[in-house]
Amino acid sequence: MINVKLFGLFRLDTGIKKLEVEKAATVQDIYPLLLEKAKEVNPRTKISAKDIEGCIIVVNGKQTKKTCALKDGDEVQLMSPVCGG
Amino acid sequence: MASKYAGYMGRVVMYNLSNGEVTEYPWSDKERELFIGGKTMASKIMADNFTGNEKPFSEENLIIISTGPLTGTGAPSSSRFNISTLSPQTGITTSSNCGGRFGYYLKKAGIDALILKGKCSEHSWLEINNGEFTLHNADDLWGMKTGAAQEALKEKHKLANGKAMKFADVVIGPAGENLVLCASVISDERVSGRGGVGAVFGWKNLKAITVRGTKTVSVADQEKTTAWCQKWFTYLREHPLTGNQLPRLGTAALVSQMQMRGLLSTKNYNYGKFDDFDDVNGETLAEDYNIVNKGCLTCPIKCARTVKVEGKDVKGPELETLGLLGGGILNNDMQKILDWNYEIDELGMDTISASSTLAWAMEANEKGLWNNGLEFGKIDNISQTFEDIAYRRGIGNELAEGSKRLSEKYGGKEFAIHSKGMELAAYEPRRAVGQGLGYAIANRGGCHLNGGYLVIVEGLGLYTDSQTPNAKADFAMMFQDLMETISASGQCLFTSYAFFPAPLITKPNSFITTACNKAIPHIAWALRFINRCSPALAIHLPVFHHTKMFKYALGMPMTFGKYLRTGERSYNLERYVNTKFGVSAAMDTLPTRLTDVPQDPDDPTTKVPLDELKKRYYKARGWDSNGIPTAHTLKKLGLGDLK
Ligand code: SF4
Repeated sequence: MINVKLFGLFRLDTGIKKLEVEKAATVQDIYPLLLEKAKEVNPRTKISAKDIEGCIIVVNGKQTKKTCALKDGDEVQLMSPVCGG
Repeated sequence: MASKYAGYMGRVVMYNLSNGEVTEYPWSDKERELFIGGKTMASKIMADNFTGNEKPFSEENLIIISTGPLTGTGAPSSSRFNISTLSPQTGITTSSNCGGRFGYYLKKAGIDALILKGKCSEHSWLEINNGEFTLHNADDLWGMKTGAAQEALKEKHKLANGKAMKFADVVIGPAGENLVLCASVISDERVSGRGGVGAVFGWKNLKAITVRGTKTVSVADQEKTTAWCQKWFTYLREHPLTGNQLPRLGTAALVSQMQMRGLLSTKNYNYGKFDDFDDVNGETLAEDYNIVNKGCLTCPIKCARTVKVEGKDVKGPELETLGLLGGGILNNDMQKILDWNYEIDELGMDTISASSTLAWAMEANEKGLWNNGLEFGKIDNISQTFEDIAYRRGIGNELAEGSKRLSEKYGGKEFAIHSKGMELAAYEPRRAVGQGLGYAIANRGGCHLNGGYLVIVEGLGLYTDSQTPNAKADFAMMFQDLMETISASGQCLFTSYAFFPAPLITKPNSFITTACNKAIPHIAWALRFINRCSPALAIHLPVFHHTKMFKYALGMPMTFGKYLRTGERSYNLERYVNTKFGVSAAMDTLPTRLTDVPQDPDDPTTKVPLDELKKRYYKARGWDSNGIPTAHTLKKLGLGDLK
């Protein structure tokens, strides 16, 4: 099982905090599942693949790329970028 | 002195609290051009009046409340005002910036800047009505918390028919009255928090100032100003940062990102990540606690949160408070942070310094240096401790002195997280070394903004190499200079965030952003060129609306280069005043936890290479190796005749 957690406005926009994914070879394999779930939560969602592509990716605490290979028990954090404060 | 420039009210006035004497302070158009207003104007007044022998708690110390020329012109986010004084925390100058209505009302009373000297002979509050001053006895207000004091002042400003007059106020709470070194000044719900300005009010027996007036702020070209403001408001509303992120998540938006980058101060800066960060971040605040967004006058961004505490709608915490009262003390209870944030404001203290001192005390207790009953993760005695600090009771009396003085008494200097006596904000600089440089060299002490806020390119916006010293000194100088002029004009620093092209923020994984991140450490030469030759940049940048606003609203010629140079003058002037009080390279320091102990024991680069960074920074600034602005630098900036 891979635990996916969402952060930033992306989380507010999708209404999804967490997602458990049975299996995914790489981070980008999670994207379609996430899109599906977002549509399930809100059928009129404006979230698109482009928004997911724009996320910062952290796997097990380390920032990485969408091609990062995943294994059972990994935690993936996806966050829409923020700036300043 | 009347001005040829619009936006100014033409009056800088000194009021002597000891004897009620009112003196007009000479302030010419030349000075308006060189120093604009706000904190820069205050620095010039301090340069003219301080010899270096004055003490924060003395009749000679001045409280300077200054406005910017853009306040009242309709420019976005332009209602900020500044309070400068000698800080009891640091012994050097501090400038504390505040939103709300007070600055605007001071201008309506016909005053650009108010200088207070002397000391009231009894507990007092000062009433300003259209430029007339009346000092009242404040025995009935003394002892009140900030909310109650503001309510009581409303009662005093009721007309005979029971209706409320329109006025604005600044007040202190019990912490200011009891000379707690990090005491704040409160205006509505906004806070002049840093540097202990509230304690100087308290020492001078001044509980509050109220101001009202009927004057209007003039604008040079109304048509062009209105059109430009409309364009600027639209730009800010459409920018992903000022139009989406800040309104929806506030400054708290950054907590999660800081966690991911190892930037979230945890357990008194032992670590950069907090396991329970998701309980105390901006998303959880927005989803479960925020009621409505609020903001300062004329601000389209509205970054402030409103939350429920004791059944009341009150101001929510900023990022710094969430970080320091969350991971900083190993607390994962969001409601507690909301409660403490409200309580600290009511007591009139700076949340950053109070929280960081608390974390230091917890660690001192854990290490057996000071048996004080405070423990990381133990939250049932925190409210009481904040009260005790404000009233200087028990251990609170000692905590009221801040982490620097406590560590000098009990030991533990290496983990007293301050610079020049002022505690650092929640950004852990061992994963953003330019931010570390900023904390160390910031004019007012350990301030995250005054140091240049480099963390914005080191992991909170852009993702340049956060560990390299390359280009950091030059970036720090540029950002500092830009922010100085924004502040001096009366605007909020957040207006500068829209300076970042939107695609760089929204597309962090794109080819262009990646290339940009990689290139930044290698463009020191270009930044140096801009910093050195800024007056030659007689241009306006499409993403930087500030410069044209000077022309349209004030009738004052301004270009991007001149704007930068004005900020450079401001920064050097403040540094110059501080050197009179002994500031030099030896005071531009960080605790050794941040400079000598890597955050990641397996990665020796995860600490701040401060000596190297300082050397580069002094050179970029044109200061000598001891961190003192040279005569040549001061002359170049038009400061050659400083006393
Ligand atoms: S951005 Fe926030 S702090 Fe700045 S003026 Fe607007 S509401 Fe006030």
